[in-house]
Amino acid sequence: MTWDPQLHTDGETTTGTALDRELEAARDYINDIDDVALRDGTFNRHHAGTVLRNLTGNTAVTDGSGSHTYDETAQGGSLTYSSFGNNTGRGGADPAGTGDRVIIGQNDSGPYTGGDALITFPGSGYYCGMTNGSEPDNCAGIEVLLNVEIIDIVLAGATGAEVMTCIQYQLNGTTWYTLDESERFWDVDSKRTPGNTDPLRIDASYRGLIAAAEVGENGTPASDRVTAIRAMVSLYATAGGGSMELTLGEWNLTALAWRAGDVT
Amino acid sequence: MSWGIPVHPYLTGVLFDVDEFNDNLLTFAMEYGSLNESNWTNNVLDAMQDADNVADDVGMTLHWYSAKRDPHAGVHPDIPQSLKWETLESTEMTIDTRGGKLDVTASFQLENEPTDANSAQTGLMFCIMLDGVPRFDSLLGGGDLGNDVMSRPAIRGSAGTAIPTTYDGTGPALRASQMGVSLQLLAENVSPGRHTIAIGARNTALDTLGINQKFSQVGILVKEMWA
Repeated sequence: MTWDPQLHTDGETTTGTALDRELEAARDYINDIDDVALRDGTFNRHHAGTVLRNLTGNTAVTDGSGSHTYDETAQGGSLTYSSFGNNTGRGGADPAGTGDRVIIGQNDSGPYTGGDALITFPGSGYYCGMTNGSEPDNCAGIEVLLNVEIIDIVLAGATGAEVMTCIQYQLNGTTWYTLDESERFWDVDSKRTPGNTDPLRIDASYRGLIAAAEVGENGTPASDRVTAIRAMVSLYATAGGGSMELTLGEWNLTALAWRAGDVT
Repeated sequence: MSWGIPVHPYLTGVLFDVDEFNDNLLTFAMEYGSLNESNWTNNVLDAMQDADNVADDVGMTLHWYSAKRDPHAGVHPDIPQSLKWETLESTEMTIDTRGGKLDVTASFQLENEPTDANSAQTGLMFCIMLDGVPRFDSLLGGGDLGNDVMSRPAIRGSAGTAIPTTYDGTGPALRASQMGVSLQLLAENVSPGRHTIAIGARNTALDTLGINQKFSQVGILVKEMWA
């Protein structure tokens, strides 16, 4: 809005009401300042505050209660990798979904009794893309960081296996999709091979972004919200068959929903 | 808040002067046509999180490059067989920045599958390249052939067999049939203008038997933070 101060001249009859009106006009102008009133470079890091849409971000971590082991047989096939970008997966107990991958935290044995590697965003989640959604969420994208410790695999029958980790995201509180680009494979030596008795202690990591383009692979960025993410694991058998068992340790999953200039 | 102050303060017992009132109004009118950093309190953008009349890039801009490829299907780009730093094919991105701080994160899949002729593979080093220059503060892997000998590597070189001792002395260089790689760089005081960011690789030794080193699943995230 513009502000055209109505100045008063000497000798003119004026009233308290007229003066109040000028001050109110000044107040309204200040409360509706146009962006062209700001000099380029007005804001610096002191003004920035947080550019996180989810305040300090969302992190799910292991509670440190020990290792967790996943048995292919007990998982009902949800530990046997079948295809790239497969959107199915076991996300909870008994069975809460089936597929070729299982959420970290749904172990079959081991001292671990902690939660799942799952982050559910507050409210209704986020549209990815600054102009998306009926009410733009001002979220340019969701940065995802995953670290999980691979301790051991045991192969009985299979002569080789790769550990697969990936991120899945949920749209509109219902359907889960694999973030295809997040699939990472770790070709590891079985602890039970002759002469190898030490735990592997390999840190499997992933860093990436869920932007409008990623949502667009399975949904519509302008109308579908990302409501949750989870970290999944599976075993890709390189040769042979037979049972496979995977043991994991410490893990950390973080999601940061950024307000930013749109993704280029 | 305003950094301007009324030219004419109002004092108790002093006759109100309309000209002084007008001067005071004009002082603020002129200031609000040219607002700067002094007009805003610390963390003011916290209160603007939901505002739509604030520029999207008021705090940060995201640049993102992603190329998905099934690591177990198709033909994947080779990692250059070179003892000097080379840019991985199709991983270079160009950004225009107003300068300041860049936080770069890169992630990809490394394939170092043994061949029939050569079950051993030399180790690799990776880093983020900024304007063609390898940034060693993002280095992963090392080239010291004398230290940290990996005599029983946990990452396998081939199905069912250990990596031959010939290359056990490649130290902390990366080598595995399949492994994920994550790199991170915080570049401060980047000059305004156009910059290129890429993933760089370097071999620690070259093998005449033929090397089968490839990569896939590339993701590069640049968080451009000014001031």
